[in-house]
Amino acid sequence: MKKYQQTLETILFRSSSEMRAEVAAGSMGMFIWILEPLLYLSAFYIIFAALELRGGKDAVPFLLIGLIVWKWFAYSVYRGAFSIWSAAATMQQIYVPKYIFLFSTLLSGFYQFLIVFVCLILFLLLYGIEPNWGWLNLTVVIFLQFFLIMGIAGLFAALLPFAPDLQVVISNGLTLIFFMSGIFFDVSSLSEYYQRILYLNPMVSIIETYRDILLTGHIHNWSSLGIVAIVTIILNTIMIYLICKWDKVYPKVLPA
Amino acid sequence: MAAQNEIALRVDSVGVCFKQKKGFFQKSDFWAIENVSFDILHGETLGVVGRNGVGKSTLLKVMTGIIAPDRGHVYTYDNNVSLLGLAVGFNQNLSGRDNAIMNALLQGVSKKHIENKLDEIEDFAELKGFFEQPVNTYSTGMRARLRFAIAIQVNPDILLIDEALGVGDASFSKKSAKVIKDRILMGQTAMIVSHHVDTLNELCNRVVWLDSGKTKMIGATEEVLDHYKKAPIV
Repeated sequence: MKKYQQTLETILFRSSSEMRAEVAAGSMGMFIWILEPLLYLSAFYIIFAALELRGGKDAVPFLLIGLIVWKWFAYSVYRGAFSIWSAAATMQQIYVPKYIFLFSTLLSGFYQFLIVFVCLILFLLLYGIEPNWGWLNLTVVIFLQFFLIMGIAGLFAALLPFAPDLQVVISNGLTLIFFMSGIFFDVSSLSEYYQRILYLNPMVSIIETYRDILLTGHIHNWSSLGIVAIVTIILNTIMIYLICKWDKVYPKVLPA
Repeated sequence: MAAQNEIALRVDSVGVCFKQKKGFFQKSDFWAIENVSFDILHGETLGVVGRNGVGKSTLLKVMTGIIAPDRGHVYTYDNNVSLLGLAVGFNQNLSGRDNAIMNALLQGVSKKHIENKLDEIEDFAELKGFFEQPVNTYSTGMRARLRFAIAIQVNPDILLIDEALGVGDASFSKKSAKVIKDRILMGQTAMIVSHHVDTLNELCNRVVWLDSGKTKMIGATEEVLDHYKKAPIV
């Protein structure tokens, strides 16, 4: 029991200190987390206007929701994937269960997301979108996205020390998924053929669900969320198995 | 309280193998230690000697559970074993205080305990006025002092020391070495890996001599060190 409490204390302290370290490293502090999606938004808004992709009254919230949710996913998958790798020096000195590095990195990304997400909610209220009880469904999708990130980032974190070339797959894969996640277009407006392909990407369903909840107050597609949940459970099971199996192998393969 | 002469830790025929990359998809085995056996008794200080590259660091990693042996066993009998953490890294953007808590937590010290010891750490590390500053503003000496001040907060049943007893400049080195020596003289079960024959002579009850990844000799400090010093350097 004492051991679990110690592990929990370590994860919680490490996650909050990682976040503070990141704030301290920059000159703009937390403001950069809000500024970055806004810069993205303005870039995409200009492209929207030029290409007449999606106008209408909800264009800005539509884009902003997609961008903020994506940002959390991409940032955490990338940082999480390197979490075991970047702790190489520490693990040569002391025994630390390797999942501590992954969980604390992901929690730190989650805190950042929550701060930006509160700003998004405030923006939506100012924009004139009425809050409703359906927004409570956000807990479901946030919870699901956290575990989806954990499964994907954890799998890469487990494999990266053995196959450093995966770095290329991670960075290019994230760029590819970015364009296939329906961040700046509505996937349901595409032909059925493309929809079938794009729905293989779980982030499509996640982003759609955020938009459904925030803009209409309902989750329209529970079945696709169910599929994402099943994928998430499978990914996390494999990830936990691998990280536990190789817990004492990582210090042998990673450079001191 | 465990009785003297009771085994605190047993290293039994331990071997550790590393994979070495030979070419495209080709790897070969390299045994850093092949067959090492010895016991550490409660309350004793065991020394370990051996030339560079005989597997001393690998042995410390197996004993602390950082890596698992590929053959043989390390029996700890529920004793916790830890290496004096003089090389644990810092997060450069965090203050000395935050790093002290973080490193101590990673080394198994509870948050409550370390929070109560922060003033003591600040004093011991002689960091007045710098403890709240980011570590990237510290000199090398200040970092070494902080590491040591954190490391001595860890209170394992079996303490492993790799090479240096003291760190930092001459005066801090003396002060830090004294803390370790006092702890050993108070009955701390310890193992010291060192090239310093004088240190081993002063502190150890017995010495293990490692050679080519194997236990070459084990016995009374003076006898083993005498043979070690006379051995030809290959």
